[in-house]
Amino acid sequence: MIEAKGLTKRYGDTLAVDDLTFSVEPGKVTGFLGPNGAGKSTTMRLILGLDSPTKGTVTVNGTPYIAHRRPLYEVGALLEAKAIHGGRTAYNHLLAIAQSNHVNRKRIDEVLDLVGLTTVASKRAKGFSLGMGQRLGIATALLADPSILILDEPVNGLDPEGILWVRNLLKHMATQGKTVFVSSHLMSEMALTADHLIVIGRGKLIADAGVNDVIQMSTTTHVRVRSPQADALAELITKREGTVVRPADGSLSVTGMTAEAVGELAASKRVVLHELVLVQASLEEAFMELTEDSVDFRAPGADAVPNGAFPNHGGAA
Amino acid sequence: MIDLPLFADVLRSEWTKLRSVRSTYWSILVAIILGIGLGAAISAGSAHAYPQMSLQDKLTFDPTSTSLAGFFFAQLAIGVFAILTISSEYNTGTIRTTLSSIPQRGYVLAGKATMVGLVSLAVGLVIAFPSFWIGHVIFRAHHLDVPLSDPGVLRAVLGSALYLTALAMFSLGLGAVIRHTAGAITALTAIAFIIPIFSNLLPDTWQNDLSRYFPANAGGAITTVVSAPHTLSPWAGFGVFLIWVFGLLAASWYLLRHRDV
Repeated sequence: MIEAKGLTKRYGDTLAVDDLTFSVEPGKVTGFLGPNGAGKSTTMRLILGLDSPTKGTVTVNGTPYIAHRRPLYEVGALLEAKAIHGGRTAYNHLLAIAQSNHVNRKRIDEVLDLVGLTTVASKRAKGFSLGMGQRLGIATALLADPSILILDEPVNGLDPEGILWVRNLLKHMATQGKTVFVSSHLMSEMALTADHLIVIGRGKLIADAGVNDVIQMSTTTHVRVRSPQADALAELITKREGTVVRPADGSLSVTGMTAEAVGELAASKRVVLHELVLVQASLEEAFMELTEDSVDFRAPGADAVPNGAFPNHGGAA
Repeated sequence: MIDLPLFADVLRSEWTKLRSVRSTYWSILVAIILGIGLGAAISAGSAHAYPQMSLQDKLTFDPTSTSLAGFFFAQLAIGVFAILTISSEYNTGTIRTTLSSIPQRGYVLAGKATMVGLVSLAVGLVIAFPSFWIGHVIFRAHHLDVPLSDPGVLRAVLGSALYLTALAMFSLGLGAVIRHTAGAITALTAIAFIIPIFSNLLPDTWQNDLSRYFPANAGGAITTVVSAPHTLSPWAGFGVFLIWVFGLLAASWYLLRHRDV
């Protein structure tokens, strides 16, 4: 269990984390989403006591991180891939960390085996690929078998097989009752892995909800209707307080009404329908929409969602 | 009340870090080669030059400290070793793993200082006694030798190892404050090499009042048997050096506790 209350971090003029209040519950995978520069890594460093908050508090298992004796039994963290001395072997890297918290040496072989690095355990880390570095970082996080896992972009640099492995590992850890907090900028990956999402932008909390709820928040979820009597139908829907947008393809795009309601309305007024379908937004679209006002570094022309087309959902949680 | 981690665990962890990277072995090997080798070369050169020296120089000639002159060069290698124990953690990002494993940051610094100190003391002793005996053999041929039992001689030999130990801890403090390998080595070079040489060029009154309190000048007093003019006495000088060392370690402890990583 991780609990942040009013967590705030200012660097000079920049408010990196702005009054974040959330809790990360055990037994599920909680995805931590946000555009680059949103404050995800800063938040994770604040949780681990590496940075001290300007205001607010954050606790792990009820206690500030730095007050834990042998904290690796409480929290295992992966902050950056390849945070390892290039001249040190994978085994010795893990040994030094294990010794610092009095972790049994047997665990080193176990976690090396678990992440598939047994054969390179005695190799210097200099030659490791990014993916191997990620695996070693995950091994480090799992070393003392902690009840909380905090992983910053763990699938970065992994091949598809590695990504699948991380996904299954995280889900497995959650089913064991562990608290799993994992950041990513890969929305599609989170859709497959996470049960719950915490979305931030420019340091502020944008959403704290289940994955499906976050998708529902998106206005790109709509009902598509085709009818030879499109004009009449549009008028009927508008009277029922639905909102109609008419794309160039002749269909009606309806929000504010369920597909069932649209179908029943059409039937009651004897309007012929050729198509009636609920179009779900992808998590990707929902995310883009939620964070569109808080993207710090946007490439010109990368506006996937037209500005102003959708209401601002800031504070939708 | 915060439960503190067992310091023994911190020491074991720091020892593993030291022994598992090649730079440790390289810098220790270089320190020993420079320390003993240059000490022997300088002793041989001085013994050879002795007959041509002025009376003044002959009277103040210090065979013991000459035989230990290699420490002046060995200290750079040991300083680099000490700096790397912390600056490499900042370089590679492992500092975040270290400080999240042991959030009581003072323990991390104390553990590193203890390990660096013990290793440097051992290296210092490995350099000091062979250097003294090689010098002894060289000077005996010129009837300049002084026995280890003479007043101040054993103190100078052991003192060289103590100086190296304190310098290593000073270097660790530099590394912890500066957090960059190159920057810390530059600072060490300035403090241990350039300032001692250039302080000779200062006006006499400055030199008398000020430069003998500089870290390396003050610390160096313990390695001499015949005190040079305007220097502190051996133990007073070493005491002043220790004040520098613990002052810097206290500053690095404060910064380590309060800075984000």
